[in-house]
Amino acid sequence: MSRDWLRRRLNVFDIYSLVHADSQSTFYFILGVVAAEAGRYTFLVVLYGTALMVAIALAYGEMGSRFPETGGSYLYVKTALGRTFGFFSAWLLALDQAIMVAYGSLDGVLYLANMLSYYGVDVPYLVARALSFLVALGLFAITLVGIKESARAATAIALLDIAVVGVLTVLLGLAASLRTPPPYFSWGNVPPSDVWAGLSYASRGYTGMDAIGQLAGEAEMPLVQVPRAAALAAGLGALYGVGLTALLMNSVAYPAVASNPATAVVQIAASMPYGRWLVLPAGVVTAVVQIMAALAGFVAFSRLLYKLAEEQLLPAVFSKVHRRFRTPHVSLVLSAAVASALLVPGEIYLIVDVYAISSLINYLLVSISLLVVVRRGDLYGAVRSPTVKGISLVGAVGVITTLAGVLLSTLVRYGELWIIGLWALAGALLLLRSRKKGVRPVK
Amino acid sequence: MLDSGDDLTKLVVEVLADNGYIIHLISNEYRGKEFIKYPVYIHTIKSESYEKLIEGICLEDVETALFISPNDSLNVSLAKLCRSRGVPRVIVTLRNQAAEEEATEYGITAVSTSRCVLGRLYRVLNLKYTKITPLRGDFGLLEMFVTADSKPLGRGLAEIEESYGVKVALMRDDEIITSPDAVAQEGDYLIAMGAIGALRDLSS
Repeated sequence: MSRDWLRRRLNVFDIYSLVHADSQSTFYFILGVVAAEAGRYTFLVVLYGTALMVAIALAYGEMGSRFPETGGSYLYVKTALGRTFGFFSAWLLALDQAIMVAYGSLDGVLYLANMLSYYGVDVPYLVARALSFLVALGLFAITLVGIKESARAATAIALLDIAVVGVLTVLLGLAASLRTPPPYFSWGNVPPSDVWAGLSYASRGYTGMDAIGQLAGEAEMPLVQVPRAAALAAGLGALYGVGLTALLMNSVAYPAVASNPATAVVQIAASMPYGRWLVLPAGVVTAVVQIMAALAGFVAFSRLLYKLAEEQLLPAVFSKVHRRFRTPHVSLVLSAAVASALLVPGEIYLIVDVYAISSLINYLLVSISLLVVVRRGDLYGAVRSPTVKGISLVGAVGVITTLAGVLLSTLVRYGELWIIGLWALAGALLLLRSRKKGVRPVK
Repeated sequence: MLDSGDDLTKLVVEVLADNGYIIHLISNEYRGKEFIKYPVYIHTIKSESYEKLIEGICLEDVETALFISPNDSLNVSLAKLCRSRGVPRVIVTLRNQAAEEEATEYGITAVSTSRCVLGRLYRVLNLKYTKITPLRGDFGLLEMFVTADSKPLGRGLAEIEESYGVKVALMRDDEIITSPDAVAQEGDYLIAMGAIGALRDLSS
């Protein structure tokens, strides 16, 4: 009998690096959108989003300290709530990966275009949109041929991003340019456009934590390293989030953000005293981070569907691999199709309104799963938060905060929810079809 | 995998993890923390029974079940449960021959700790030792420690090969001897390949 398995070579920073682009890209994308809606309350709204992210990270970290294999939230939810819930948690997460392909491609190009504008090169929006299609198509081709996520490349990009955005922009910026006090900084007179909308977007400002759990199968000591990587992601994410928001409100004029919300980080870099030199690296790095996130979206989407098909929860066609390239090409085509459908309107708010609600539902399910697993007490965790009468406090806080995030996201921005509903319905139909055909009973 | 309660579990976990197995370890709360550096699921037994805990693990996905606790009857009863749930390969460590027979009856692979200990003692104390391992068909491999009353003692390899119709080699200290003129001495390990009947005759 032949056996294939993943090599366990990743350390804590490797794990963090591989999800850095995924987690940071969302915030780079959504910061301006939150600011455009929340006005002078942006800092407080981002603090709420940060608290939500920390709660999710703690829940993921504690849950991840019990699972040594690849599968992430699908495994967590399956173990606690059964295969059907596990399926929907993964299916919904997959939609966000496809959306990430769309926003990563579009925002990567917009960041480059915005950076060029500081050097007098004007890229029309239509051209940027066309280029975003080309980027998505190129990434599709790369993932079809079979790019392997390289920890080394991911580490290089993470380090570059930490150096350019984390140190040169955030830390130096806070030290050199911060002149106005929180919570309003220089936006004391900027009325909010819609605070609830801002809260809704901030609820989704830090997704990507879920990818850490997916890497447990390649970690040297997953039960210890996954929670540490989650803590690192939470710490750096909070530093970036709070620091960038403070600098945005301190140094960038609100109308500039509101008119071009998708490129807030380059606007912050340009506003620094040494902005002239910082715009080019910041623009390139943020664009690369966004494009890497799009690439990760392709990989994650196709692998999630592949895994569900392997578990006989989706039709077998999704687990088919290309004869020559040995990649799950059917899942990749579906991912490209969903991303393209979102790119066609070229409307950034359409993508923002649909994005990450599915992830929040996934996080809610993971938090509930944590409550269940801790209550049962039969699966030992390397990290264990305090409990009250068998109820995990981290799980409880995770449920409350993510539920608030889901409610805010759905009640405030319900206009495009039909897309998620349609996706969930498609998943339900495929699951039913597989249940009828499959041999394995679904719990 | 059922915890043995000692270092054996760690050794087995390391080997299995190196070979890509996803391991579900059944242990207790106290021992759990000793395994957090390993890529394992750590299921801790509390008030529920072992059977209930095992039922909670998706047995349809389990490829191999391994029960290595010092308790023979626990090992066999849990192994029987796994076999009845369709786990294709179930291995137990046992100390008693009666338990071995019961295990074999249910298609369970039994590893006798007594025999392992004995095998080691043979080598450490240089006790009289013969073992015939069937290879294919009627052919097998003989390992034998040459003592004062062994048949091959004082005979040349060519002579032994001709008399019994087997191929023979000797291990002496760190050397492997295949020369037809070499003579078997007390303390040599004799390795022979041939028909199992001839090997039995040679080792009797």
